[in-house]
Amino acid sequence: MTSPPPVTPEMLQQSFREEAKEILSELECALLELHKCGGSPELVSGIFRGLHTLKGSGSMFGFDRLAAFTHDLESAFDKVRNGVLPASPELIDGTLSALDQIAAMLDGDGSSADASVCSGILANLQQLPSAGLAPAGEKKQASAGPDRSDGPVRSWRIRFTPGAELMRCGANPLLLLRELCALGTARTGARLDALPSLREIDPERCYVFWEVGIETAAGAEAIRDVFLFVEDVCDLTIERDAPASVPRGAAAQGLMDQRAARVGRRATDRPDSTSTLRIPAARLDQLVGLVGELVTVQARLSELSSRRGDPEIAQTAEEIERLSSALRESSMNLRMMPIRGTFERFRRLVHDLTKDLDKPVDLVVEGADTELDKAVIDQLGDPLMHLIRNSMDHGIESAEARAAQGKPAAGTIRLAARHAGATMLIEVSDDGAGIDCKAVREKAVERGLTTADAELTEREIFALLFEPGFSTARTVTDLSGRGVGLDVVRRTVESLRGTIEIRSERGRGTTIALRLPLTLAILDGLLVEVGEGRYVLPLGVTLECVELERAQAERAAGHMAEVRGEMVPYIRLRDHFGVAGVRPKREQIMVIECDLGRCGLMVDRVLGNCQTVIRSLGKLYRDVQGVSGATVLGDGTVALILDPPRLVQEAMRATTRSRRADPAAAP
Amino acid sequence: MAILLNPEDDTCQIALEGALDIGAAAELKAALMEALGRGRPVRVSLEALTDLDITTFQLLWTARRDAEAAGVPLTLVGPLQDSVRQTLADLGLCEVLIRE
Repeated sequence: MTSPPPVTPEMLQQSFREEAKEILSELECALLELHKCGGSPELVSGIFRGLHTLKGSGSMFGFDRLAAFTHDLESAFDKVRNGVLPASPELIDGTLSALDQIAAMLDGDGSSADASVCSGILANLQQLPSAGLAPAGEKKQASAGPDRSDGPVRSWRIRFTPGAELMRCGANPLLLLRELCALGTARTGARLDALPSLREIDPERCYVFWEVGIETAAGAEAIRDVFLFVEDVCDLTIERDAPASVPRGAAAQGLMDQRAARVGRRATDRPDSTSTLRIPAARLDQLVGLVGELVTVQARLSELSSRRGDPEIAQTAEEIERLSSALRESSMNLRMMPIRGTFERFRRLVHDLTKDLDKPVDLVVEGADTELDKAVIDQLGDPLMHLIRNSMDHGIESAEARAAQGKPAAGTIRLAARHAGATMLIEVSDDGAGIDCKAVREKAVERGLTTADAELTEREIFALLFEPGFSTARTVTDLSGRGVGLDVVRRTVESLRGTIEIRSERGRGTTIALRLPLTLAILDGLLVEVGEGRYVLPLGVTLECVELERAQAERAAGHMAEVRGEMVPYIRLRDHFGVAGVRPKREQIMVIECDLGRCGLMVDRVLGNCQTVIRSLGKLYRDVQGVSGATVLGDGTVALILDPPRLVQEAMRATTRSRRADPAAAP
Repeated sequence: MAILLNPEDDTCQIALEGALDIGAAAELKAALMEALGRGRPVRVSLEALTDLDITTFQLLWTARRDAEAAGVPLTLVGPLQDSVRQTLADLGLCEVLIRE
């Protein structure tokens, strides 16, 4: 066992960065919600608390500029919370831009944040008209930070006991006490009872605890807010000092109310800190890697046991198989994350584009809780952004054009995710103009992607959109239309072993569907044989398997086979891979689904189902088309994992090239 | 954090400088332990200390408490700088370290 590396300030800063990014994205969602539905007190309070946490943690971890900047934003939302400032679109837009600046401050040394933009944002926020509070009151707030004087002055007793981890989290009791005391008139008493001997003392732990008596107009909530970002690593009690005249019963009742309120808040505001754990992704990868090794060894053991025929070994092998399968499943589950974070990011994109393009658009998100491998989610952001931009730019018509067609003025973009078998289906659809097949075709001819007389189905025309360098936009805009979008989308999706499909109806809208594997680490596949070599075909794209007699295949014109009354083109992998030797009497065609419809891959033999751990190929083989990885089989041999859509494309290109070279030659 | 032996009055001297926080705590603990281990009177000079945090305070305070219990005098020597005084006041530890 290796001991964990010591915690360095850089690690703490990195952990703050990660946490801050989560807070920023939550804030963004809350602001957009506020924009859409108006402010509920909970929503505004949530935004305030988010900003407060950013400020507090920021200053704790040395992001002073961020903390100072956030402080002013926090003040603005404190005014909203107190009904002094309305949650106007200007305030929301200003705050959204401010969040961008905060995100820039988080990256690297923070130099990418523009100081003049920051001060501009703050100046604008300060000029926002208030909801009619006396100017004197505002002045007081500006100097004293967030105003919490929203009630009569009361006495409070606060007992703050730092936990063992508080100092190591980067928190500083001094700053917390200073912030607490700034709420009113305070007396701070430190208790040294818990200090052990010098020999026993852990020099990096705080043993002192404090009792603070404070007279303030601030409520329990504001007091608790001071300790917001350390509440998991400290013990905190907040009690209102009962005036002497209040009968015992009433005071006790008051305390009980407070306790109930406290419990209620913890339960609703934050997930229980003990129920979640932040782990570096690399450690998970390591675990998944080990489980992969185990699965490989287990497959070898199963094979060995079936060869030996010893019932005792067979029983043990079976048990190990069951356990490793359960272990594989639960380690895979560790990597699964809801896609919500990625989806919610696009609300902001749509909000901004709505303004830039002057096209009102509603984003409808469905199935945001659908879970997917983190590695897939991480790579999905860019392709989805491209697709949404494309829909906003090319799909959704201008408000006038929509009105002329009797469509609602605001367009709708739907972003939906759901599980479909072992795959995840993500759809981006719009209710815009749909794809103009004629324009696409003309453009493709112009670009030399197809010939003017080529007979193309609608599906084939849509597939042209994904060719590199294709763009039908008449003018190049900021957003899309540079012709770099869709082919990049396709490449990313294919690198994730996914497929992409377009459905479109003129005047009604377009849907782009991405089908992705749930995980990148393990593949459900079919093991097939071609010559001496064995290959794995992903089960997700395989539709069925048909047998073909050699004589039958030779009679058929070209590489076409009849499958349930339909002619399906196929590729003979034996020829494609240049495998020497005699073809078997009977061959199998694996029918797969790809961009261009159904295609077949002809193999010698199907060996059966297999669940394999995917290994990437070395640098040398990375550019080999049609192969996406390799796996180690139970007997220790290596099988290549095929990438059927690539194989088909490759074969198509070869056919097109030969057709161009010799137009008379039919396929 | 140098521990100096003063031959004139046979004391161990530790001079603290600058702002000390959790980052220096382990080193300070080691220095105090070593000084106390010599069995001679210890003087810790706080004059050049510009700021401290709760971990520094805890070490100085326990060192003095333990030294007194062991019959070895440990003196914390001021005067304290204003910034240090302010920090101690805000921590509710006014005059706990040094009575001035």
